Amino acid sequence: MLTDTNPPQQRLLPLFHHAPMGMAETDAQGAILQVNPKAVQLMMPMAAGLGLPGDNLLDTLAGVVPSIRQTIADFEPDSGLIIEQELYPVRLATGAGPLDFYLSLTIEKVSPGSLLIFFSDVTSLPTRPDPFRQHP
Amino acid sequence: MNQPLTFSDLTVLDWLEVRTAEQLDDAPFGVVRMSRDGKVVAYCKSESHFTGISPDYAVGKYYFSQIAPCANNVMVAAKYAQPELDEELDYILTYVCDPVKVRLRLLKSPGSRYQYFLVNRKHID
Repeated sequence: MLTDTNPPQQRLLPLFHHAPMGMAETDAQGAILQVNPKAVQLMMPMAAGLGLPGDNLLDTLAGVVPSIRQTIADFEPDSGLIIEQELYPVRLATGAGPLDFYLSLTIEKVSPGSLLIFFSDVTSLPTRPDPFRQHP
Repeated sequence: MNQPLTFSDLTVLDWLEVRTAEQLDDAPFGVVRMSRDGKVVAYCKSESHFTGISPDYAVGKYYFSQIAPCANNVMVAAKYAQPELDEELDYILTYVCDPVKVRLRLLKSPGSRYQYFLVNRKHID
């Protein structure tokens, strides 16, 4: 077994950096506190297509999932899963061309002031999106 | 050069083209010089200072897939498919886990052996 002498927090970094899924921690309003490269890769074209700066992830996601802020506001517990691997179609015109993909989204409230948001483009997954879980 | 080089200088590509990898460190903004197929040829010290990625590690790697995957999308990496490119845009780069607002300039010319990715952190608070 290989032994990594780096502190546990540092050993987590490659996992965070190379994860094939967007991962972000935001405050309750959506301002990004921590983010991995895949999240930025996915969110910036959406933000640009919406004319947003991209520093507030909930603002960006609300542009493609309009109900998202209300869903979060309606979640009363101090912590827990708010949205779990829901699929949403993204169709936006951007200066660099149209964006057209299926977004898989998970939002967990870890405290009243902190959200963990996981998202990915699942368009190319071999399984078709379940039509019963799609949101218009 | 009499005037100090600025990020939006119209002649910045000419300035970059005649600099050695070490001389790129003199630019008042981050510079990544890539081959036309996207491999890092030079990675300036100011960029290295912010990212923690050493020039030795970066050189020879595909920039958008191995060094800066946060810019590997239609807004940035895909633009280099054009034969000629000079575009500035506001963007967010990730440094360790922190989102950092930057101004990018994407540069490529048919007459150059290289393409460039410039990063200005002073433009945006």
